[in-house]
Amino acid sequence: MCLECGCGEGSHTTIDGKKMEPHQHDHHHQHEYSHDHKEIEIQQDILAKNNHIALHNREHIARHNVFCMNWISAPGSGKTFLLERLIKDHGEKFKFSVIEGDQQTDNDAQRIKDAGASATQINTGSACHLDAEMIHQALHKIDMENTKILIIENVGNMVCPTAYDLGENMKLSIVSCPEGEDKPIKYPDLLLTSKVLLINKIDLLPYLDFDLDRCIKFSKQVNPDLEIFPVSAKSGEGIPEFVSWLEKNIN
Amino acid sequence: MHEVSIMMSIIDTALDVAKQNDAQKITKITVEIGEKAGVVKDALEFAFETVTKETIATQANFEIITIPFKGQCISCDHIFTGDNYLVCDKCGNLGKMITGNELRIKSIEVDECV
Repeated sequence: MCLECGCGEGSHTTIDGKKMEPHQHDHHHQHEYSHDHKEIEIQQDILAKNNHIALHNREHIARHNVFCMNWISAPGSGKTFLLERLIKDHGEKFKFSVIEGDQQTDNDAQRIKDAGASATQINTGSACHLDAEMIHQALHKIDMENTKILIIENVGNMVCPTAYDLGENMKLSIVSCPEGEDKPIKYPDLLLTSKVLLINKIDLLPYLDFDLDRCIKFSKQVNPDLEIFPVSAKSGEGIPEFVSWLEKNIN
Repeated sequence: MHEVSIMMSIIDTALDVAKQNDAQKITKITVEIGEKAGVVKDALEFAFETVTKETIATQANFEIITIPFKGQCISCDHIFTGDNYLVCDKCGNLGKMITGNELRIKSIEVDECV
């Protein structure tokens, strides 16, 4: 585009790899700058760009035979603790790598490294979710050859992360018992797009009025195909069942 | 609060399309947002002003067309609306969303150099 008048002559076109010379301005350049009002139909998904990058991420992940999960939950549901447990007990088998999403600090990435897996920290600043471009950049830092399962631990939030495809194979959501058994129907969008739900902190059941059966019933009401595993990162209860599911499903 | 990111995506696309059409100025941006798309209209409008600053869309009008929710029961095919969007109001079984989760840029209006 001509930078002086925006008339569309000249462009980013290249010939034999070289940029075209700017066009000569000896043509009808006495534009009368009257302006035409014009409506342009777009009809495009607002997140089209994100989805396009997500598609590339997905191809990149598949090329390396890696299985990628996007973990989403409210802050404090125990995502990082669950990851530490999985890495310590099953790290050799699954060769985990983790992309940690938090607004601030690299505390979680440090915890993952201490547990024995490689971790890349994304700090979103004020943003409440990860997007495909952030994952694209982070993927360059992951040793994909030595990874079997890549876990993206999203920013703690049950609403915004749901809208952004990152290129993962599946979404996994977590609710913890102290959050209340009706959490699945309060935030249905997340469960609708998830394949697995972990109900964490079941070691606290004796001390809470949390009705596990109702929580499972509510979750199935939102998404009948959901795989549900009640677990405790602390005691390890329920983890073997989830691990066998993982073994069956990562290939 | 992902409305600012959503707004940035809208403006990115609008500016790209305006550039492709050699437009000098964007005068209006119209988007279609589903009632159940998880986007707060007020927050989106608030973000518009910030995100368009120092762009050719800074004085544009911003119109949000809300697409109402419509669900369909997976058991009896009944089409329903209303707040309880997962449950069919006829038989009580699970429903799926037909409309209401849209996030779409509909169109822009531009002034172009002629």
